[in-house]
Amino acid sequence: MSEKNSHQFDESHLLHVLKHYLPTQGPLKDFVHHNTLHAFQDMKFYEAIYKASAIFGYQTTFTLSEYRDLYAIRRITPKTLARVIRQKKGDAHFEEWHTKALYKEYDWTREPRIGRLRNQWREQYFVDMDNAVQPLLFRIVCSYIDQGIAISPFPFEDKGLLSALRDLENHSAVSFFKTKKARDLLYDKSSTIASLLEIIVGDKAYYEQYVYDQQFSHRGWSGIVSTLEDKPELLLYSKNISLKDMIILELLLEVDALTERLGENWKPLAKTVTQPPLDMFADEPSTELEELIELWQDAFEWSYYDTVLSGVLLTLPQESSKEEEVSKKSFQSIFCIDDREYSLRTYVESLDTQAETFGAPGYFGVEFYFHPAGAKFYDKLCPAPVSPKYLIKEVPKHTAHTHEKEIMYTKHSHKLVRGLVFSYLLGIPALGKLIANLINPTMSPAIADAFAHMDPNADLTIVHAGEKDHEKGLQIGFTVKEMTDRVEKSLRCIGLVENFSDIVYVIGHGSSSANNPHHGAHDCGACSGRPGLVNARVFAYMANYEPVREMLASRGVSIPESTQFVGALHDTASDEIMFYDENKLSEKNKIQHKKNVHLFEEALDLDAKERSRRFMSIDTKQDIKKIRKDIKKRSVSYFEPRPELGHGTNALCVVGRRSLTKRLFLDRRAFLNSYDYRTDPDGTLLLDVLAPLGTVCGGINLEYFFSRMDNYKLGAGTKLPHNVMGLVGVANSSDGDLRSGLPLQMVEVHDPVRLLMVVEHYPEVIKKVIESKPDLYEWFSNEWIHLVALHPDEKKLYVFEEGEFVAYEPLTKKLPVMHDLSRTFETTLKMKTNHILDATQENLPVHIIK
Amino acid sequence: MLMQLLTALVAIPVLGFIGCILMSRKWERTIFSVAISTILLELATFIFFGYAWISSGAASVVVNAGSLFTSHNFAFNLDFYFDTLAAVFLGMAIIMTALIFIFSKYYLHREQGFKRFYGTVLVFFTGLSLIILAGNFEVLFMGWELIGISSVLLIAFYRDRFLPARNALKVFSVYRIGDAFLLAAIWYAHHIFEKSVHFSQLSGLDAQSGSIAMLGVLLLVVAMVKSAQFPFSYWLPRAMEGPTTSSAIFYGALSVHMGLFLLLRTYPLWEGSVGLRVAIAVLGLVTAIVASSIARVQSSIKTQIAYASITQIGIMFIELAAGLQWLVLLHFVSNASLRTYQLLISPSVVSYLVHDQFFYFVPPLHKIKKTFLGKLHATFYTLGIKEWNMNATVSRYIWKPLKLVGRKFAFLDRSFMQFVSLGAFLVTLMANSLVKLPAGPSLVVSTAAATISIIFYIRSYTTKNSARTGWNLIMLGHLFGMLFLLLASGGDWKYLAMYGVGVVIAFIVGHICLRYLEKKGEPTALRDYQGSIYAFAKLGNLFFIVALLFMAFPISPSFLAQDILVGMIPEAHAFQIALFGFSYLLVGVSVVRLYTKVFFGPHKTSHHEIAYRSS
Repeated sequence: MSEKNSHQFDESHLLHVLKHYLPTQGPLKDFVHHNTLHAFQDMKFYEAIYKASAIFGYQTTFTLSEYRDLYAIRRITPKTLARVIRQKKGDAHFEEWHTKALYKEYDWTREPRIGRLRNQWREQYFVDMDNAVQPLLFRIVCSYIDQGIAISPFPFEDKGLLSALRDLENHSAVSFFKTKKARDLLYDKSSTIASLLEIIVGDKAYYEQYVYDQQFSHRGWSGIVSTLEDKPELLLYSKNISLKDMIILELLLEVDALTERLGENWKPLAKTVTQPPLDMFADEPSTELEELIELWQDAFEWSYYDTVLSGVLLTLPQESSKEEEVSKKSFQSIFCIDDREYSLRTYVESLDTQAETFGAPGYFGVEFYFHPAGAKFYDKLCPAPVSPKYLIKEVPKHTAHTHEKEIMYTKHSHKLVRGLVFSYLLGIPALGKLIANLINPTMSPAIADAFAHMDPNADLTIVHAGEKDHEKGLQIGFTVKEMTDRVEKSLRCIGLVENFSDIVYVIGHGSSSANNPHHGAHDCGACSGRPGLVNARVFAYMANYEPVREMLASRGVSIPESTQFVGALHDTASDEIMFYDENKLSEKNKIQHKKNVHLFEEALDLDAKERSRRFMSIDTKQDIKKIRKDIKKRSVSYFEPRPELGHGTNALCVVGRRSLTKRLFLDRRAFLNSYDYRTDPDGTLLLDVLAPLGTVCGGINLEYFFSRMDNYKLGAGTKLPHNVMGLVGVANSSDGDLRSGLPLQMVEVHDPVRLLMVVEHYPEVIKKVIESKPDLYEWFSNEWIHLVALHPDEKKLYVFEEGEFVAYEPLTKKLPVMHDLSRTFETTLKMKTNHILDATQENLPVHIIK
Repeated sequence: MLMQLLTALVAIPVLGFIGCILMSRKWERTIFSVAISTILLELATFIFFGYAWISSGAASVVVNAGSLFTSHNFAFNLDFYFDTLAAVFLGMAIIMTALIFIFSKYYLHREQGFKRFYGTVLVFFTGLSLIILAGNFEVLFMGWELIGISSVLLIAFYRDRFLPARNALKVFSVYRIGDAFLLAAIWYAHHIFEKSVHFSQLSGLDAQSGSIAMLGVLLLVVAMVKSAQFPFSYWLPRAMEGPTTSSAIFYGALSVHMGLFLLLRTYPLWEGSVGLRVAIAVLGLVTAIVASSIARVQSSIKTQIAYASITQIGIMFIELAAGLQWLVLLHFVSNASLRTYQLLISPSVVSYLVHDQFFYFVPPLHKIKKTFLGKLHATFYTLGIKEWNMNATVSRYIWKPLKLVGRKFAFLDRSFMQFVSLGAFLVTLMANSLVKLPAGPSLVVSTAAATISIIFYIRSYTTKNSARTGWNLIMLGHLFGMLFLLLASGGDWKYLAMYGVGVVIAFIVGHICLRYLEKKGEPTALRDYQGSIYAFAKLGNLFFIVALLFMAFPISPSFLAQDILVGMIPEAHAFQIALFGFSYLLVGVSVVRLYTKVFFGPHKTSHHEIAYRSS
């Protein structure tokens, strides 16, 4: 961008750059995690975060003193720090940098580039542009986008923001504008960004900077407008809005404010500005402090990674255990790779040592739109970047799937006359409901219920019926070949191609929570922020479908006739599980399934207990059934801002066989993607496995990273004062900017470390695979994700650095051993405050499970 | 026994508050235990009291719990009063506060201001019970002020952000208009009844109907401000800056209905004034129409609920004017419960309405026809979005003129001018002790002193220079205020000293605090919110207490002295009383402005995460 001649104003270039840097978070109903600094992803991690910080004033790391405090409590180990310094600065400079790291003081103050120009209105003319313009601007934009909070919709909203405003002003006896000048400019259809900037700024050299200042003073609203312009389908009640219209409206409001405050004859800002125009995106020379922070952050990350990698090596199974693998499994379960399924998998395996679990992205490779019976819209159930061509419809047996009404939300209570009636009638019931929810919280229509996404008794149109079976350009159901392709690919990727047990569970996940506008962020990321139950059920159906079995067999994957797949949903907040189509099981499998259901219940008890160690409201020492009940209540309590902790603490992604981590206690911090290098020697499948992991796991990890580092600017702040705006987002106060990112309650337990991805394969194969896909390669080459290869033959580790795999020898030689998991949780400490020094101590170190 | 119990109802929350502030910030469970035991004890006492009260015939109870101050012609009595009205409001206040306390135990878990929240709500509750149980205007006023100041703390609960800091000041400023009118009403009542009136005696008072109506008008303004009636409604949504729980209890349930309570409480007083009743009904109707038109078009959930609640309070005003007191009480209980609940579950609206829409969405009709009705629709829509320009209008007619005046006196910021003023004050003071001015000139001089005092306050309210300059200006305002009281009230040095000592101590301590901040490199310029409390929390708390003293907060000696001295101003000089009421409004706003600007807002000088201005 810097090569551009800044004296030539190019509107489309400006809009392009703006859209690139604005947040891309969509409406809250579909929460898709992504790298908050995605705009900088083409740069190396540290360069990127420092640059973002210099431009926008983001706080992208801890402070020096926080790192030193972490060192003092040994969360950063001296060995690791020393190693990082030696590696990056060389042995010769070790002493110098080590002393600097520990003792030298630095001046932190730096004024971000953004906002300097526009602030001159305040400095020179005492016009506080933000105060003067923003409240009304936000009101208008929010009312325009509003999905259904207001009773009266924005008039003429189909024609675009400016056109609707013109029509409204035409019809109304009063105006949004205080001055005729601004109003005339609104009516003048030839008004453009450039023509208005000429009035306000007056010198082309400053135009771009001025608009950046303006738009990034409310990045939340600008971001959602920009996102909705590009993806209008994200809204159910679609709106025709563009960033350009919003900027023009803001400029008009600025003209209005200036004319009102300064009279008719004010001069453009450039007339009195003395500072030269700033190249907003120019590179900034790096400072010593930044180099130091880089050392510290690396040391912070590797202090943890090192124990993990050491653990992997220490617990690698001996080759002799091969017999065990061959023996028939009692049952198999495919879970989502999600870090929250980690502990449940551990418990399932520990309760039945013959049980086997796998991890695969939670849409299980079947992508489609879902149409619940009676619904007016489709739900997209696959990763966000995928555009499915298929539709699965729910065909109810009895009554259509509906959404129950909750009288307390009736909008009539906000009206004049009916409001009078309702305010008399509903008061005492409201009081009753409040008391009831405080004493005994239960599910209600106002609570996001993961299980309610599909009617378990309804049929699904999974099999494509032929040529004419289409709806709105989508094919209803899948053909046998399409099904087989998907089932085969999914099974091959996780290495499940032989030794099938009688029952294979396919377990999606979702999350129920009350009073939580961010509930979508707790659902399955691979299903566009929705529960994965339909995908699980569809996958199970396909894998059970006779013609698919036949075709699979012809392709070399033969599934025994006795094997049946069963779909299920695990609610990660309430720790409940529900199985689908159980009646289709054979008599023999029904008996086995009944046993397994008990086992799952027991595993969920243990899972609930492990989770409860972080919840202040639940006593981990009490009876385990009571804990389970408390966990369930938590998910339906209006007063509970942390129904679950989401992906908080996520740090690892292991791609390989379960044996790599089976004997390790990783404290629910790892995404586990099953993959068997032996079935894929040349890495063809590996590409399919790795391709989505960058966006999904890397996206989640970095969203948590940045929301944790700067919860004020990059996160949504504490959720307690949040006010829901137009059903698309949250803001503080009635006049605030939309807050994108994650709220404090979701990230406070999180240690901001980048993702460490461990892949079990030959380094040269991995290298070849990632190099074949540039957008995947970028994640690793630019260090947004750390990549480590576990050499299957040598049993050694290789770290990906500067485009090469380099041998890595863990510093940690010995790890603590955990004998009784459950007991351990009764004695662990809960964090005192959510400051990183306290929070990080709640995380348990890597243990070897005996 | 009823008397002791009634006193206990006021004392319990005070003790609870003291218990709460003694706890360490980190002891969440203990803080909660103290708070919930306080409120449960209050509830038990209330039930016990209620039982005894009903069994003794439910007649109104009048209690004098002593007096804060007595002199030959003035007594500040701690009078309490309990009747059905108090029973309903207090019962509601206790239940709501208890529920919110339990809700917040989980909701605010690990929030930095956990202790601050419980402490502040206990102050709020103390204020509330003082208002509800007050037996006279003085006690009611104490409660009124406690609610006002605790509102500032709860609105600015997230004090490290800009909007909460600004909105806290904004809401306090509006409140202050009501406070000034309430004070004026109190003084006016003293004059027309020639005594401090007990609420139990309101019906049989002997005064001219014109004076009663005048008093009624003053009280009506107070009620309009506190209950967010037109044209003051805009403060209510802006007060919803704190945690949802505090917004729910303050602005959904209790605080916002206190204006209504004041009218209910003084109902026997103005019952006979038909004109006033019509006025109340008309205002209620206008508010109901305006507020419901705003609620219809607001696209943020809390704002929508706020205006829906105001609509109903408007209707309550109409019911009250019609004399349907029982209906008003029922309406209050029901509306308060409903709005509290709606606010508490407001975050769920995303999952509820989106799901609802998923199944039942029908694109709404959004076209408007070019007819008269269409024009009306478009006009109401536009006005609704802009909240009928209420904020801008109040600001244009009240705050902007003040700032305009303030700017004219920018020269007062210079220390030279301040010394000159101080000299002028001393000279006049000495001259006054040497020469006894005759009535005429004395009136002129005293009015001049009051005006100068007001100018200093206004200047302090306007200045963008350092906080110390602002602090000096307020002190000079106080000095000329004292001069005014000395001359206007005929002079009683004893009370003047009482006024002066409190203020001077506050001035000196405040000065030291501000100097200390400057020494530590903290910016204190009043042009911006500086957020010093981030780094100097203890100092901030100390300064807050000092500020209360400096603004002559009720029960501070300065306030008592002021009250007494104003009482001595002859009735014929009513305009002087009004002038002093105005200066009371200003000193409070100036001090709170100074406090919020120095201590609240984003703190910029050290390196840590800072919130956006717009967030």
